[in-house]
Amino acid sequence: MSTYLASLGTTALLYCLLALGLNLQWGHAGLLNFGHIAFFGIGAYAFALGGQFGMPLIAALLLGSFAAATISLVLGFASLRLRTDYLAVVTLAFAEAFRIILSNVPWFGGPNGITGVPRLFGEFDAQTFSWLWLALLSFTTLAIAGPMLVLVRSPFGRVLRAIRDDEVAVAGLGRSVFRFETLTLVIGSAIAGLAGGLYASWVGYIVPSQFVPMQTFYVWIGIILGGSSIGGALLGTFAITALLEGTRFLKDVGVIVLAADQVASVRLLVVGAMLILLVRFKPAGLRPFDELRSARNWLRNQPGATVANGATSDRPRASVKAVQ
Amino acid sequence: MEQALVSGLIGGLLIALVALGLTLVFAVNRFINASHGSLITFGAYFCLAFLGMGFEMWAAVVAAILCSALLSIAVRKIIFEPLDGTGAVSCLVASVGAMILLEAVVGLVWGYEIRSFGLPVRQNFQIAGGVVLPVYDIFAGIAAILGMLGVWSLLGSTSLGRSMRAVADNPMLAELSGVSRHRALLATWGISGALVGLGGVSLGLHGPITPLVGWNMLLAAFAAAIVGGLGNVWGTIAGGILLGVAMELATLLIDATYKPVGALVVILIVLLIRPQGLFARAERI
Repeated sequence: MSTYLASLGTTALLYCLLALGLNLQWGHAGLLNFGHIAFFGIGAYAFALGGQFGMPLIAALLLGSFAAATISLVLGFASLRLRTDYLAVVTLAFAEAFRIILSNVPWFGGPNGITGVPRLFGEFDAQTFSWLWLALLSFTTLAIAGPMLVLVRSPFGRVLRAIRDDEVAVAGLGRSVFRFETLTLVIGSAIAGLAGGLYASWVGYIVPSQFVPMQTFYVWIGIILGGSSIGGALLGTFAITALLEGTRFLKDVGVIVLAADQVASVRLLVVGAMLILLVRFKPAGLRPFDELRSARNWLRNQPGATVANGATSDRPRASVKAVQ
Repeated sequence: MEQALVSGLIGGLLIALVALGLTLVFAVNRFINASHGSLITFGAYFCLAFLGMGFEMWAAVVAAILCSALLSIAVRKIIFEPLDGTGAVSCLVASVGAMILLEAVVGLVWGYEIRSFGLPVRQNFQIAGGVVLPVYDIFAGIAAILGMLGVWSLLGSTSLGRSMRAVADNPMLAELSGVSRHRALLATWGISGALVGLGGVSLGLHGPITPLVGWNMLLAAFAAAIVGGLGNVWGTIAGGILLGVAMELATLLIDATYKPVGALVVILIVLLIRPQGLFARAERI
């Protein structure tokens, strides 16, 4: 059971890594990237191929990240000048093209993918393996979230949010919107590539059907749920992934009476419904931290409060505009 | 070569039919509807269901088209009407949710096995030059042409068509002139649903039916609409036919499994060089 929980946590953290990149692209720069999973896949395949050629694991991981970043550069050049909804279509098209090519080119193993991917910690027993991986992923997520937090609060982050809110104004002030957007795409894709390499190493094999657009939409729900803050995105993605992945095994526990692929359909139903409801009612996300802040302010501003006892006049500021 | 041209023409007509629905919704409602593909799937499955209930083929087709239109209107009312005014991106994301939801419903109700209409196998037509044309493909092609002609006459000659065009051109001015935006939108979604239902039925005539048929067609429809210019009716039709022919011709050079990739490459190239589409007025996208 603890092995299962550790695996669940590892999966959720992998999605969290994806969320970090996607959150930077959408929550901060306003880029609608529906093809994010493709870079996860590129990282996984690059790692697997690197491993097959005998590269040391760390080098193969970096290769995965680098490959993803480079290809995202190409995609960015072709598409970032388009407006938001066209960008979404192009990135989606790109991800699908990538998956189809992967499924068919024999060099990448075709529909059966690549097996025998070298696994870090592979020499340990199942339980230790799962806990080691959970530790590794936790460390990696924090190690990336930290600098990301700094980046987001830096002038770079401010420019990104300005681009999200008003591209024309940013261009008028002399900043190259295209360059900032490209950099954001590359950073997000590099992280996704790293996550892909880690995933390949953890699971030991990769198949093209693991890299479908639906995965990107899972992460999307996580980000929308959590709002555009980094902590929110991580929390939201962790929660949604744990929910979705955790319910895979409800049938085994005898709770549900549906057949296995019907459970998969129900899960998809929930995902679709959540997206619709979130866009309709909570486009800026559930924003757990904002709720805490407003609760705190409410407490401080009760009758009888004076500035001396801590009354504040500021209301929680929206850190992201409602989805435009 | 001639075979590829003819097959491509039929395929292109189907793509054009489906893309027409997409482009109508974009023109009048101003967003890209990702759930369009799942309505195609429903079209095919509705027809399957009616056939299963014992309807004659022609009756099943008509019923399927009607149900698709109704479903499309329901989707508009329940999901997208509350989102009026929130912008193209919100609607796009919501439409992705709608796509996932609708496809899940298809999977739940009808399962994931491959189905077919179970129609009797008919002789293929032989045309000059050794070109083979399956009978059902001819039906599909004729249906597509009729559908497009129907839309053309509707848009051009009826007051409903005029109100749709007015709302597409300038919603506020249309409303000031007394055109009911609400009615125009309902009509647009209904017509789009009907077109797509017909497209789904044609797909079913063309090949096997799985819950993914709509998704596979969706990307080609996107490509066609983008090539022709989103919102541009004739451009989209031309784009669809061009795309169908191009994709078939491409199979002469590369493996047939890469056909969808062709559509995607077309999207990328067109958006890179002329994002407003080949047939649209030059404008910034």
